[in-house]
Amino acid sequence: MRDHRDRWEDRLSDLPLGSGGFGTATMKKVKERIKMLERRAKRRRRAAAASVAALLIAGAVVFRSELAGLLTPEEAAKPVISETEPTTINVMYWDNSGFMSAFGQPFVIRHPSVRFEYADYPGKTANLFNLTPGIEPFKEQLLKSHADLVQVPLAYLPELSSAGLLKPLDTWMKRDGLKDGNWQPTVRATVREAGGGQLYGYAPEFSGYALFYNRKLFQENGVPEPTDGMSWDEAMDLAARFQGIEKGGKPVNGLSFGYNSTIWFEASIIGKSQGLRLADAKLGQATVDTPAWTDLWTKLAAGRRAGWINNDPVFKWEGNISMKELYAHDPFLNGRSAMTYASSAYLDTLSDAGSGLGLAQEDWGILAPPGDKASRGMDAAFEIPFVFAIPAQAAHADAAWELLKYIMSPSQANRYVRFPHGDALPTVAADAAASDTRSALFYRADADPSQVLDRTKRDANPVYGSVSSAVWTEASNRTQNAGGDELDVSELLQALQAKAEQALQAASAAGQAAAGGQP
Amino acid sequence: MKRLAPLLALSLLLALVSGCTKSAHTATEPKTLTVACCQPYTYDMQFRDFIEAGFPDWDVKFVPLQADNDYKAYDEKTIAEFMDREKPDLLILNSSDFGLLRKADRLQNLDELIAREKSKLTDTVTPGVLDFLRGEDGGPLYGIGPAFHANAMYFNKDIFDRLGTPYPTDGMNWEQTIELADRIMQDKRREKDEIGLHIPWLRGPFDLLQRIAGTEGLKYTNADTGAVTFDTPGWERLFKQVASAYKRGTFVASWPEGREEDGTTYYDQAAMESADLFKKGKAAIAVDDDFLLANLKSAQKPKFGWGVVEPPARSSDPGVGGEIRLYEVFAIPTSAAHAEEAWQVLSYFMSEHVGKAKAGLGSAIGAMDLSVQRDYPEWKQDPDYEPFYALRPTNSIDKFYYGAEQGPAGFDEAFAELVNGHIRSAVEDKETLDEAYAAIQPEAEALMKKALSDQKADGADESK
Repeated sequence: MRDHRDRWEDRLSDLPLGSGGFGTATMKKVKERIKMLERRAKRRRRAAAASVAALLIAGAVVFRSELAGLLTPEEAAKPVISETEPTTINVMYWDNSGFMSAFGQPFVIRHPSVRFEYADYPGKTANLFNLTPGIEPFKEQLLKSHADLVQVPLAYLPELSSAGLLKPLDTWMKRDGLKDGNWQPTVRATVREAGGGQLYGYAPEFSGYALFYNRKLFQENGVPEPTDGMSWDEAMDLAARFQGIEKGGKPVNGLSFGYNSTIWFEASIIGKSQGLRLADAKLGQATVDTPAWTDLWTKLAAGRRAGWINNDPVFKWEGNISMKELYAHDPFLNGRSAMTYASSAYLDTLSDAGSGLGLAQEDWGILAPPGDKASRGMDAAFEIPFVFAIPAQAAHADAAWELLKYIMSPSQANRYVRFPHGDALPTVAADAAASDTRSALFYRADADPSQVLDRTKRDANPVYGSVSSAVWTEASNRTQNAGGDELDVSELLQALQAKAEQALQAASAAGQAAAGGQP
Repeated sequence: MKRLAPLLALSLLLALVSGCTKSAHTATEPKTLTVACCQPYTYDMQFRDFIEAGFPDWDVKFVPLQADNDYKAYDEKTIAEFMDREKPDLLILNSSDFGLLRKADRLQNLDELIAREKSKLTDTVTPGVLDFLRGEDGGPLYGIGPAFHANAMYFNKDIFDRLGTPYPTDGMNWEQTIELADRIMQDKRREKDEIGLHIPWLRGPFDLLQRIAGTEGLKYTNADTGAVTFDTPGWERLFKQVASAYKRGTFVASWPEGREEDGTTYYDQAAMESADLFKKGKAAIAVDDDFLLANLKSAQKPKFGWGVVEPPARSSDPGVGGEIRLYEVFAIPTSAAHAEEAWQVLSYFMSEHVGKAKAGLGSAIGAMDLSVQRDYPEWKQDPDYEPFYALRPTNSIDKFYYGAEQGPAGFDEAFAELVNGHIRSAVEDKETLDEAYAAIQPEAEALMKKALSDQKADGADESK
């Protein structure tokens, strides 16, 4: 925009160049002009500088975290696991090749210089259902080994952590900015409780229980649908409403428990879900012939006799049998049972069996399991089999921690569900589970951490194990030929009580119970 | 004008900060990529872990080329339909599908891409694999993969020690190998059920002849003229070598019989067991692939000492020998919408990182194969792997198996039968070696004439 100042400059430019002969007046005007321009420029510059400064300040406020990252000198972060030098991690786990495929492979892909060594897991016949050879042999083996990462059965975590044999993990969690907020809450609380409030391990998997029900059957027969966390009495009463109902010429059950279920198996799992015990906490007194157990067995016997609890005879087979053939014997999968009580593993069974057997995917729902009246909605059968922990004496603790962090990661959870093993759910929900309302039930499952821990310790106790084994073996023997005969529950429980007492006496004689219920 | 400077300053500031933000964090928009590969099971076992580890924030869509339980071979038409329907950015192909797409000119020239990206990705790849991928004509690379299979010569140290015979070495040719096998066979101290040289899956003397011819670079036809080229000194020498080896009993005349059903060959129990002869300790020498190496190093270790050297080499060029196979070839379609992302993933699979990870995984990942990275034997800290990296292959991706057809339809089978027949009659003393050899060329020419005219007739019938 040209104004009077510019015209002035035009006049100046008309003067002959190199004349040097500017008149004083002109020179004065020029100097003044220059000063004025400079002042204006200064003002403009100051104004511009001020606005830039203001913007920089505003920008710094808005982008402060990024700037902090840029401005703090980056400590040349030395990776814990070298890119070039081999790093060995020694692992104690019940199944070496299983460890490699579940955890080792994806870790080596991220850290190619890592090599795994394996320490023997204690106990000669360790398997997924027998991880507890006894706390003393376990401790002994752990101390002898060079394990950097160890699989610790939950039952042993309290004693091993309080004895200082495992590294506490909270400080590392905090240092590395890790939160346990995405862990299944009951797992989180129970593992901490086992460590006296501190974190000493990560439980990568858990199992929960649920009531699965066939909506269609309820609707078709005008029976009100079950609800979250009923008591077993309520569940049984609901099941009884299906007595006498048939579908396609075959009886419809109110309640079933998979294929090849038996009354003693049902008693054991329902008893577990109600927190019933076969011996008291001190393992001095058998608690089989009790009102609670009597009530349970009586209801089961009545339901089976009347047919609203599935009473198909146990079937046997020779050689191999396919899963599809087994599924054919599960009334719930075949759309002929209104309810079934099963673990989270049943989700896989339902998806594997598919809709072809008579139960469409949209026809079934899932609810928090039935249990004791006093603790509605809680899952008293919730299971946390083990944690991964880092022994205090580990030579490669830092590397083991990197491995443990990977095991805890959502990335690993997503991978875990692609390679199912042991039928458990990953503690950190996989992305697929997060959007699936049915598995979400297990990720909200509530249980009393102390109760879970106590039950787990009890079940790992060899004395309790011998009682349990004696009782259920006797129960099986006495009920397998019952057929249509009315079961004399009182007589049965007296006999089971006697077996339990015998087992306790034998253990006491062997001096095991002298430890007062300690494994 | 008054507002311009502040505005300029603001936009500069924002540009600076967002530029810095990008370098301080990874790119904020998630990248997407469609990968077409194999069967879902194979993808899950062999590739998915790597992709999820290397590109955790990417949205990678996997499209299977095959269903898990049902293999359907593609042809030009069906693979084009697949490409147009699924629009993959990155392909992981078997040799056959790779061949189809390359022929259809639907794949990016990787040499050009490598030059443009200033990539060093081929610098560390073992030369034999690159030779294999460049085809018969040594052309541009249209595909490459992180893993391959190759052959070697295995030997049973216990048998050699017992007979006081020197071990096989690198650089031997077939003639020398057969001679060594012969020494074993003729040695009276050899156990009755031990053999000198075992080559699995041979279906007769012609197969062995073909094997050796492949190494020596001999062909029995001229593809351009349609002539039969069996009457050369090279063939004569080879034929007589093999036939006399059968006569002497160096090779046992009964081989695994395969049952043909719907065009697929099934091998029975005996066939499968005989394939295991070396691991059982019954063969002094075996020429076999790297699956045997994985087997010998697996948990069930053999009870005898063993070694491995380079496979028999070409007499005229000891740097050539053995065959290479790639079961998964990575390629980028020319039509890829996310070609840059595809390139990043391909480069990642061809990286030292992935090669070293493979060294650590062994057979754990569900694919017992060799990394194409030349340093793999070093990363495995095991010199037994060296022989697989030593030679340039006798085959290529154009003709990836030694039994590839050399003549028109029906000719090769008939030729094989002809040659087998003459070898057998020589073994049974019904003909001399000279007679047997001399009969083949003219009889083969007659077969060729017939095959060519049959072909013409078919062509005439199909002409519209």
